[in-house]
Amino acid sequence: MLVSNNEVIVGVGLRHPHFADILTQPKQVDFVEVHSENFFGQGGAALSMLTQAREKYPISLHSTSMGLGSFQDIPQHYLESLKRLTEQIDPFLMSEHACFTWGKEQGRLIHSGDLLPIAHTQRNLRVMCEQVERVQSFLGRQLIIENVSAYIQFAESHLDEAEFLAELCQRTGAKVLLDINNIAVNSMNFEGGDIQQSVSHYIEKLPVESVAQIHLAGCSTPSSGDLVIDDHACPVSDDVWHGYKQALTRFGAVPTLIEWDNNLPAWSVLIDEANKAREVVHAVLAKEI
Amino acid sequence: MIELFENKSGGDDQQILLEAIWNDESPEINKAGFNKQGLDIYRRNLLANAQRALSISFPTVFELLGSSISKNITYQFLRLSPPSQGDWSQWGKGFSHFISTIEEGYRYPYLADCAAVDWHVHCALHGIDQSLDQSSLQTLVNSEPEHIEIVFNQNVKLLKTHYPLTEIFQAHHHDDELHREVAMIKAQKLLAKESIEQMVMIYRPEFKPEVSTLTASEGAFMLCLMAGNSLEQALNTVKSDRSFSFEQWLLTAIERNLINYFKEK
Repeated sequence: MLVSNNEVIVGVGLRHPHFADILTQPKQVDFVEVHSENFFGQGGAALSMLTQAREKYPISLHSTSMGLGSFQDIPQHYLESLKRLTEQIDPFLMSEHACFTWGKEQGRLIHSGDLLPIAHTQRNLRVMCEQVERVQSFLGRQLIIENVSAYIQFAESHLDEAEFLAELCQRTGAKVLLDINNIAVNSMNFEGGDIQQSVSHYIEKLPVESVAQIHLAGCSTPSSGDLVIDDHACPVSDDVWHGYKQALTRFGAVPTLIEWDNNLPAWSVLIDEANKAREVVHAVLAKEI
Repeated sequence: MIELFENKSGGDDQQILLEAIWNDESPEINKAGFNKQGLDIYRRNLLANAQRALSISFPTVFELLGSSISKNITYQFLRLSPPSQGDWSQWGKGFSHFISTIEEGYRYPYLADCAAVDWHVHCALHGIDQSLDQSSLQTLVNSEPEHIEIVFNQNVKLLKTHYPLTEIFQAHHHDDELHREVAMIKAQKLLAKESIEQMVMIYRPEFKPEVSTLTASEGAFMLCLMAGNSLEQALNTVKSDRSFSFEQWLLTAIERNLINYFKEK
């Protein structure tokens, strides 16, 4: 189920330290998003918490290990775990990243343990289309694919990431999860750091109807000369808020998520960030009208 | 240096990047022309993610060793046993054996068994939710012991050891501080002894896994049942121990959620 882009829907990423908050406090956001792999166990307290949270909030399942851009097939055991969770939770959104994670080592399949970037080539586009189609068919769900932050670049890339994602969605029926902070990180690391311009270039290559979700996050300031690391450890930066306004102007009020993974603040701080996002949406929509 | 990664016709760029991250002496790095600072970020991320995963799955081992030593151990284990599940929490099955082969394992011989307890506790934490099928209790009334089999909750594991694992575990993880201190003193005393033998049980009454020590008879009785033998055969293993009471064991087993169901053999 995708939400029409006239509704203002804002959620937060739910992490372990906030499990008690989500169950005991009144509903303050429209949805919560969890990392799928954290709930691959067949039982236990975490899954029980998510099942209870499901009664109060729509859930978005955000996967981090599928590696849709991998040349190696995604293992069946992984897909089966994801399918079991999907059937149990019935998420309203399901997302993954435009990256690779699987490789071979001495004949054995291994997992990279990280979101590794891919070269944006026609060959890799074909591979990712096949993987996305296979996963969507297996799960019976539409996937939303997120742009990633990267710390290396491939000389052979001849497509922009946005062009790559637009083509991927056009061929597979998947949608885009637009992570504004990832565009900002890549802008600072490889494009001279004019974030407003980077966002502008990125979003104009995505069809208006292609974006189904937006992620907002903040990251630590690096030492001089170092690359920016997308650590999700800070409040959303002013640059990212500005990029968010640019995206809203183009795509309308798509569901938006505040992501925060490290140096996790109190639940109330996340709620404040979500409320700020809501205010930004209302302000942009009012201006558009 | 062992060549860890193989090239294949498709996805060469992916294999080269993986190799460059995992093997900083790889000759492919210069050829690929990757930014060294970028590669270092992926290398640090990999190690940090792996270390975090092991510290969650093996909290006792990490507390015993301290973080600086654990970083080196994480690196070695990562090279030896790369993740293959796509879920860090499922990575670490071979960690206990690995510990037994490294210097720290020789220096602290109980460490490998502590890792085994940690792993079973970790698995029980995410294990399937099972409780006693009450209706199957009828089997105890309707059948003779020779025809009765007990199927245990999947989260129940037994571990034979020569070290005071229960006390070491309680010393680090019991909710009550006083209980932790008492367990630590007891563990130190038992470690000072030449030889002990413990049968440790990991189980999950509700959501929180517990660790406790069984008597020799309880251990033998449960191991016999877990091997698929009948209740009668299990009772025969403890018939010389007059202090063992099946009724008492059964009450405790139900209270601790050890049994999934009874069935006729």
